[in-house]
Amino acid sequence: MIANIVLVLLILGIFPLWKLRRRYDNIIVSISFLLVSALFFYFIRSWQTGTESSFLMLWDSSASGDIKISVNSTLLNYAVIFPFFVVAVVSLFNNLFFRYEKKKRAFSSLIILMLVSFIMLISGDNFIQVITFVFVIDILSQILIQDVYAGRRYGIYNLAADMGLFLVFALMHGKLQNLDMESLAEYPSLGNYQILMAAVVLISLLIKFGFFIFHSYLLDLKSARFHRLILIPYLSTPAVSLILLFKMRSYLVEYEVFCFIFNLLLMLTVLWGAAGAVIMKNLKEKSIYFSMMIMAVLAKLAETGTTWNLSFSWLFICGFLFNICIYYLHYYTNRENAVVFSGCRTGCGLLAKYVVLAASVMVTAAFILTLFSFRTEINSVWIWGYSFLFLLAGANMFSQQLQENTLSLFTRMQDYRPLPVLILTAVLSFIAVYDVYPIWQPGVWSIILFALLLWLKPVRRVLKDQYCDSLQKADFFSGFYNAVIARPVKFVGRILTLLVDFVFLEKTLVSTVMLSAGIIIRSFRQINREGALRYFLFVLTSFLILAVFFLRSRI
Amino acid sequence: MAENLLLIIIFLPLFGSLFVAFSRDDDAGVSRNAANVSVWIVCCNILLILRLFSLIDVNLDAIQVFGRIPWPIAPGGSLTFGADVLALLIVLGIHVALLLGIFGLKDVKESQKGILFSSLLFLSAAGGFFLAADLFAFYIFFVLMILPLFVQIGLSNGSGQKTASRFFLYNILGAFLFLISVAALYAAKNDAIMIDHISDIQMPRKAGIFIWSGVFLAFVLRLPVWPFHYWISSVNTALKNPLVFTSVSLMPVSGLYGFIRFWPAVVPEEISSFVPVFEFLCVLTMLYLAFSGYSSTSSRDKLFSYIFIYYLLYLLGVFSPTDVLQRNIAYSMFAFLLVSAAMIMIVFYIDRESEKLQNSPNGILCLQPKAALAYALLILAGAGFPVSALFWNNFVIVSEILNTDVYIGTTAVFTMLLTAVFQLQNLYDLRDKSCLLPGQEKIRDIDNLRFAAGTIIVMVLFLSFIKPLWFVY
Amino acid sequence: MSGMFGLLNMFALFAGMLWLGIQRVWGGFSAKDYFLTAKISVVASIVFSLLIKEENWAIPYFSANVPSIWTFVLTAGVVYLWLVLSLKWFVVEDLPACLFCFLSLAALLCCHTIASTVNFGVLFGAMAVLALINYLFLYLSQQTEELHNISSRYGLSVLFFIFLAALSLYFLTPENWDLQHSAGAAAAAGTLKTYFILAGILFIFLFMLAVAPLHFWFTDTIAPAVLPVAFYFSLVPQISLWTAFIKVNLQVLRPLMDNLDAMYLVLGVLSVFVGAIGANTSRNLKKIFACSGIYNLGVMLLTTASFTDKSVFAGLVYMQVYILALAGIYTVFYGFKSRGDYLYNLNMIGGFAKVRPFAAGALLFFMASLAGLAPLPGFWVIWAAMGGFAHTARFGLTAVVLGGMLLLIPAYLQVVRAVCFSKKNTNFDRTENSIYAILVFLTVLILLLVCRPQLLDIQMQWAALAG
Repeated sequence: MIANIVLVLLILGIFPLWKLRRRYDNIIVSISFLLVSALFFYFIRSWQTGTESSFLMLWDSSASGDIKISVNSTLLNYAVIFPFFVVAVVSLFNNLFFRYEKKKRAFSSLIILMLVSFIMLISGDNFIQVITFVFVIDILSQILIQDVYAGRRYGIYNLAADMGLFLVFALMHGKLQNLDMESLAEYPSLGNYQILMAAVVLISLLIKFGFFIFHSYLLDLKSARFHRLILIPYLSTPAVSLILLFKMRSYLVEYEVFCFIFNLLLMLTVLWGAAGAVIMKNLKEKSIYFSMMIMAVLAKLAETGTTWNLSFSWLFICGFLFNICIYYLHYYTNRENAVVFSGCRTGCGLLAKYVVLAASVMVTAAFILTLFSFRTEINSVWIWGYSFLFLLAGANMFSQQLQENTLSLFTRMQDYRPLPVLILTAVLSFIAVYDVYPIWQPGVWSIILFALLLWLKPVRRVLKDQYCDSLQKADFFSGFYNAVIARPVKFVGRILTLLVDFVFLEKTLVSTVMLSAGIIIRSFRQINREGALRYFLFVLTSFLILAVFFLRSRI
Repeated sequence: MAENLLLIIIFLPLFGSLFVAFSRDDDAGVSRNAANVSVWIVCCNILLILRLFSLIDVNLDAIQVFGRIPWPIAPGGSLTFGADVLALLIVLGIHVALLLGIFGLKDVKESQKGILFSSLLFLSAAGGFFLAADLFAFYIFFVLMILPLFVQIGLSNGSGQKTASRFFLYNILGAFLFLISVAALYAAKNDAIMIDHISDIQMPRKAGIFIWSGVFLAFVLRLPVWPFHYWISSVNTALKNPLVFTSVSLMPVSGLYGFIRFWPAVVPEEISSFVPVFEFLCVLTMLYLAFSGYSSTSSRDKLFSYIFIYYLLYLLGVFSPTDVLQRNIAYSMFAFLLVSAAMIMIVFYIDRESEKLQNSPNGILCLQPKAALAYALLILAGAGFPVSALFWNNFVIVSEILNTDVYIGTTAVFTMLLTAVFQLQNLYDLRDKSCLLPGQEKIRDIDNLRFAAGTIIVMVLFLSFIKPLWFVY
Repeated sequence: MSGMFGLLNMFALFAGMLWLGIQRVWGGFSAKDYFLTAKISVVASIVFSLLIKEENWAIPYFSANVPSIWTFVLTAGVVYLWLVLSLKWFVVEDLPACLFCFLSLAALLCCHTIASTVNFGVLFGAMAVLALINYLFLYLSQQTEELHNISSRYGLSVLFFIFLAALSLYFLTPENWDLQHSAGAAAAAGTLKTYFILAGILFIFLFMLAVAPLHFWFTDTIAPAVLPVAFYFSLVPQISLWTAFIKVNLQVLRPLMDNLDAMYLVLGVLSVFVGAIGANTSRNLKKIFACSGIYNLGVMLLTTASFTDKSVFAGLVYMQVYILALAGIYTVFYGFKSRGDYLYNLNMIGGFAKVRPFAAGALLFFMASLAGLAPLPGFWVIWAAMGGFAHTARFGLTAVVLGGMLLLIPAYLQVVRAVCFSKKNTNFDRTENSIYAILVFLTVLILLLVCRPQLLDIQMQWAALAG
């Protein structure tokens, strides 16, 4: 079932890349959206029928084992794929209205190919398939980001994480002589380099999540276009990391120390994310910090042993929708930076902002409601604390946005077409969440709290809208990495080149050889210099040689 | 038929070189005729190699299809050639690499004809070397590769003179060491020695150590293992000609191939006990190259570091105590040769164009969208992303290295990472529009021929990712 | 009768010399005419030699076999090339061409005598005449005071060694001058006399072959000599002297071989290193290749030292291959010409390849052969030599030969760098067609030999080498 979907998606993903005139862009993008939506319904129907099947293809074989491509249509896989499908469909829909996107066809194609890669990653049950699609998603993410500055550190950080996973998988393949992901749990029993490997896995996952101390590459994304940025956490590497965490949990939980470190960093990520979402003026940065917070809670759930069920999927989707709301907030103020001093004067613009606010409140409520559905699995202090911070930061952002007035560039009604869909999506998601977890209190409380915070503006009162400029530009961790890794590596490289090639080889070895050759040549010239005496000496030498041999012999 | 095909593949470039030698230059001193002849010869040979692939059993690892040339000097009275998947893949890779090098020669005016002539000779010698089935032929072509390359280096630029001599001396030292060992082997068995049956020769232990030390030292001298790396680093940094750079970069393949053929089936225990030392030296050199590549600001230096780090990775794979990696090394190396040659072609073009800019080349790719696309794709392939056969085969190679020694393997992966990082950084720098300085109006994008070549290479690489021997029918 | 028939080649040379004399007396002949006479004479002698090559003949004082005839053919061939190449110099410089041609034929005659005689009296006599011819050649090219001094020193040295040789002849007494009897007579002469006899025989050979440490005259004379004379010194006498040296060792000194062996090895090793290092000390092309000659002679001596069948044949083949390659190299040197003057210094020949790519390519090719690069003939001889060393369990000599080559190669590389890679700094004269013709001939010959080594017509020797 899923295999069929993958095949059709692949065709749909490649088709828009076909070189056609630009005027067909909207038609193709619309067709893509419709077809993917149809596939989504087919997917839901297949999931509901509950029949499981598997597709297996031999990719390559070698002396050390066969590599198979597997697409398993299990209920678990359906549940895991579901949110990504939603993210893809919503993004394809948004692409119909994205004003800033110049290459709509390519963007649609990219989203579909991303979805295919995620399905393959989720279905993967062997090291090669998993690591392959981890890499593939990274490549697609790079294309998605598009901006060179934004993609620079993103590419390098993720490459480091990918190579870490590559190392771990390669080692496990070598030691276990098995490519099966399930054999991962057996590795600790072998007792070889466990700490080293677990540390590599943990660091790789943390980098890919973009969690505290590894998050600075995510902040670079503020240079990317907003509609691309919002996809990164949910259809790119942080989501990959989430899937990998689910796949490798059985291996990581064996090491208590790593669980402790992981939890600690999760907590710090939530705090740092909340602080960032409050302090930063740039709406894109705020969005990134919110994503960090959302991913942190998802990772926390994954770490505690939660299975990827429908509730988890809705939590994921709500997180994504929250970011969509931030995007539309940006969309209708038409300002990417300096949100503090932005706003809308026109009636349409103001209305749009309130519609977005309403949708955001619904989505936030849905998010909090879903989060509370996991209260048996994680500490309630964690949930309450997290919810409070999330609402505080969210309310602060919206209060900032609603207060300021600037001119909106939107004058045509067609620019407001996404609004009904947005509010509809928000409501539907709340209903869907309520359908899964039919308790209304957390949702209502969160709406009330959100409204209260929006009205009271506690953070703004404390900070008095004074945002330190140096704080806005500060990037503590990139400076730290530069000082600790990049510069030392560069320095060592230069010193080594100088020492090994120039000082040791060129100036010591080669020079010594040249000097010795020079001495030999000069001596030779001295011996062979002009004059009759030389003739005499050479003849004498030859006589001596002959005499020695005659005397030594018994002639 | 296959036997004749084998010999044609070896000697066709040799005959082609004669045509090149007698081709006429045009008024500007550019040898278009020579270049065209070279391209045709190499293309024909590529087709013949592909045909030969279809005539052998690709599932078999042993040398097949023996072609013989009677030669009274050779022990056994003839030089024997043979082909297996490993050898044919390397030969194919070398042909494609040199073809790309010839495309890259388009903007270089100096000594084109001489360089093309020597390149074809080199190609012939390389073909003979990789397809040699007996030890004597192996040695003959091992040596024969040196002279054309020496001429190429010498002709490529004025500052290459000293480095050309250095190159020759280093390589001839290796050749002489090999000669001593070969002579000793033939003294032990005065008949033809097939390289896949070399272990049949019975010799005293001490003699074995002496002989194998000579053989491996000869191979090591071809590889950039510290402290023998200097010839290649000093040569490559002086080169400004893409074809010559490609040829020089292909030279270590011969040393590597020597190790693949001779190691580890037959080495005496005394030598195999030195494996950790060899591995340590390899890893040390990899680290050194990775650090120096990272710290360098030149694209060519980075490319050089990248190429040689990968050779050393394969060497580490060869040292691992298993014979199952041969295929993986072959597949990976084939893709690697293609990637590196295509990257050389593009990097040299970018470098040449960037000389028109007043300062650094950073940002130049913003003005060269075709070059940027091709270069980015090649960097992805080269960095080991899953778009070429490098990916999965490197995975297997690394897993075997890790299986042997985790620290060596981890360091190797670290150097691979560092390599990929500095390559990516270079790409980002070259695409950074904010760095673009005056002079940009003179910058030209890569021409259609090279762009097409780059694109085809990327397609070939991708197909090799899906199925390494996709071209065998 | 067949023996007399075998002397036809010598008669041809005599006739040539005679005709040159008549031409000189008659007057009115140009340099071209003299050279034509000499060339016809040389060609006739080659033809006669080839006609009789399968026959082993013997007459008083002379005996010929395949190697000696091949020696003559090779020497005569080299002399022919030399005459062809040298003509231009005489035409331009208006030099005494008749004397030059006469001396060339006389030298060839002496060489043949040296290679085919079986009598010490004739042998040393021919060597003395050859030494005189050498001196006259130096005299002919005397243009500087330096060369005048050198030729004087050469004359004195050669006189000294001829005197030593004469002394050994005196001790041997004329009835024992025949090679076959001389060994016994020398042994019976008493210890001191035996020493004198051996020293006399060996020194004249070692001196004329320029084996280190008696190499001094060789580099001294070749470096300043004009190119045609340098060509002669480097190529013409060496082949016959080497053949005669081997013959004397096999027929006379074989009983003493156990003792001489070690001495030859020492001299060989010395020559190898003196030649190899010496070649690096100069930027004079002729000196570089003179030193290379000393190196090659050292290798030949090391190869032959044990005087087994294998080693002797290896030495012979080595000589032939070496001469072929060197002839090619010297032919290219004739192309290094600017405003009528031959260029010898590496600084002056920069960029030759830019204007004469084929000649430069040929130079590279011949030098590759000389450097022993596979699969060129220079490689086979090193391979054969190594086979010989392995056979006699002298593996160290392989290291000496290859080590020496490694020292020599930088000198070759200097030449290649100057010719092929340096910037052009001289306006070269047009290269004569004859030079190209000879280069093509030699290149094709070497390529043919690469493909079919048996063309050297030494199957027997080769079988022994390979076997």
